[in-house]
Amino acid sequence: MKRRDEVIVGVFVTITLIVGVFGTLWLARRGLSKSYPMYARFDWGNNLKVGQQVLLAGVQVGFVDQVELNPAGYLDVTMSIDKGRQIPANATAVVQNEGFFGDKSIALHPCGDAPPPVDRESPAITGATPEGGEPHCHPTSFLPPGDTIPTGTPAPSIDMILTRVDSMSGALDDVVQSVRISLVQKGGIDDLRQTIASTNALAQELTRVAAEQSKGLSLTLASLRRTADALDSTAIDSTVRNMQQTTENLAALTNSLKSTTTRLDNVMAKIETGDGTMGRLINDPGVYNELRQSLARLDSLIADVKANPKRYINVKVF
Amino acid sequence: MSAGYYPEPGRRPTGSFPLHQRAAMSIFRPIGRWTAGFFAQIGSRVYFLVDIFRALAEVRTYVPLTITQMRKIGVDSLPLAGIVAAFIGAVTAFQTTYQLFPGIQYSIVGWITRQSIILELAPLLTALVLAGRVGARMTAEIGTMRVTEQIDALETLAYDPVAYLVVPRVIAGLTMMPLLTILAIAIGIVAGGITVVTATPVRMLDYTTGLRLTFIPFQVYYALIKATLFGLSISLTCSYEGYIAETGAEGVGRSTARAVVISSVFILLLDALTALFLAPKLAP
Repeated sequence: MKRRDEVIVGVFVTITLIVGVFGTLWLARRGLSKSYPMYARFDWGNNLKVGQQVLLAGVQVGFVDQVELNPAGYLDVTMSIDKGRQIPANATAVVQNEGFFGDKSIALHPCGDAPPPVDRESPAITGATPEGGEPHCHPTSFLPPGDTIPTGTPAPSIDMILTRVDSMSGALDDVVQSVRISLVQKGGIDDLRQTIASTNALAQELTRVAAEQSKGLSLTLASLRRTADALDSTAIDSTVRNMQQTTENLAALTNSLKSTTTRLDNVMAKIETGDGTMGRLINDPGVYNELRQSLARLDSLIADVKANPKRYINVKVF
Repeated sequence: MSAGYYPEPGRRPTGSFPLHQRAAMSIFRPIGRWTAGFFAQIGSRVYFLVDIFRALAEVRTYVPLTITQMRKIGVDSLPLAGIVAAFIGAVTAFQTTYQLFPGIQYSIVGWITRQSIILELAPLLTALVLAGRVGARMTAEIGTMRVTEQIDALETLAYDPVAYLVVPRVIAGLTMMPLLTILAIAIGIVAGGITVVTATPVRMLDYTTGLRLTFIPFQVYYALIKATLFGLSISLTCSYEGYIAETGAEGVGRSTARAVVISSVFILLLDALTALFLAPKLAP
């Protein structure tokens, strides 16, 4: 019994001490993982606390280990960085907001404050393309453990945003004030009311007219529908087919006309150039003259024949 | 019957005083009695403490018994303390989640749960529960031994009853309370994490980030200091009340009730005092 008690109590004490020591270590320094210190210096009033996250490019690499108030106007912050994580040489540290209500974390920007370059000409530097290009920032040298990370320009704090909002609300106040003056004090609101009333009347009138118009319109539509129903669809079909046929015939006719015209053109051209009989006939004045002479001779011959038929016509019956 | 009729030798009977002096006596005598009783209580407890310190020399008497008491006080109380801690942790984390207004980061759940459990709930509630479970038992045990004259028998046998009965319980209470508190903290935080991760939109990473936020190991030491004081207060008060129990079963019952009440009040008082003196050192 006594021996058993000793064993039970021993096991209990051992387990409890292990839980206590490891639990405290887990809470205080994220377990037994090895880490090394890095330092940064921020302005006063950054609301930094022990245990806040240290993020490198958005990934947690450590936590705030110690915040010392430096009487020279700075906070000397010791960060505990997990072993195996390295801080790029040109990184900058910035205190950034975590959530909306004043929680902070330290963000380490691996490439300093410079925005990613957008020069597409040199993909070795830029190339921040998701489809397999090189990242825009690929550090080659790293800060040694125990170094101080330079401080970058912080993102706008809630205070700054609030100040901006304050000035905006001031401007808004002015606007509201002037609206109030022009609307209420100068009687603009009465004008507005009258306008609204007359617009209302106009709208009612319009509604009435539109109602009548729509009655007429619906009648027209009904009669149109009747007409459309009356039309025989098969007759229309055949008509359309006939029209198609006619169109085709017309097209064929046009084609043959075209070829005829072409040939006629050729003939006319030949005639004009004087080729062929017709051309000569038309273009050669000699022909005309000869023809005239021939006709004149024929004329005289006919006259001679008329005068002396016997010379030419010998009718012998036997 | 009373002192008025049969005065002690050399004392003047009250009835022989003039009326106005008797009136003054009837006012001041109770006050004097109460004050004397109050200081007598304190003095009696101081004597009890002195007895305990004297009994600490008798190592061979109490060490074997201390192990048994450690098991009874510490190990056997683990289920109760664990259940209490688990529910406290779960409820704290769950309720905190629904207290948040939109836009606040969820890691605050872990932070608030850790702060309340480590700094206040785990030590205090474990102590209050143990005051009922362990303290009442302690008083009843010792009180019964007192009533049945076993303590007198021990004295007759040349055993120091304080070394035999009280010291093991005090040492066990002193050492087991911090250990139970450590386990209660661990169980409470784990239960809270499981609850919020399974039942609310809070993610595990939010919770663990909040758990580590502004944590300094002194918070655990603070809890352990509290737990040690609570354990000491429970075991001292309860064994004292048992040790001076009056005759009869009723006396034991009255002692037990008074022991639980007094130790609970002491626990709350010590809680306030530790907060008053040590809380400023908790700032990260």
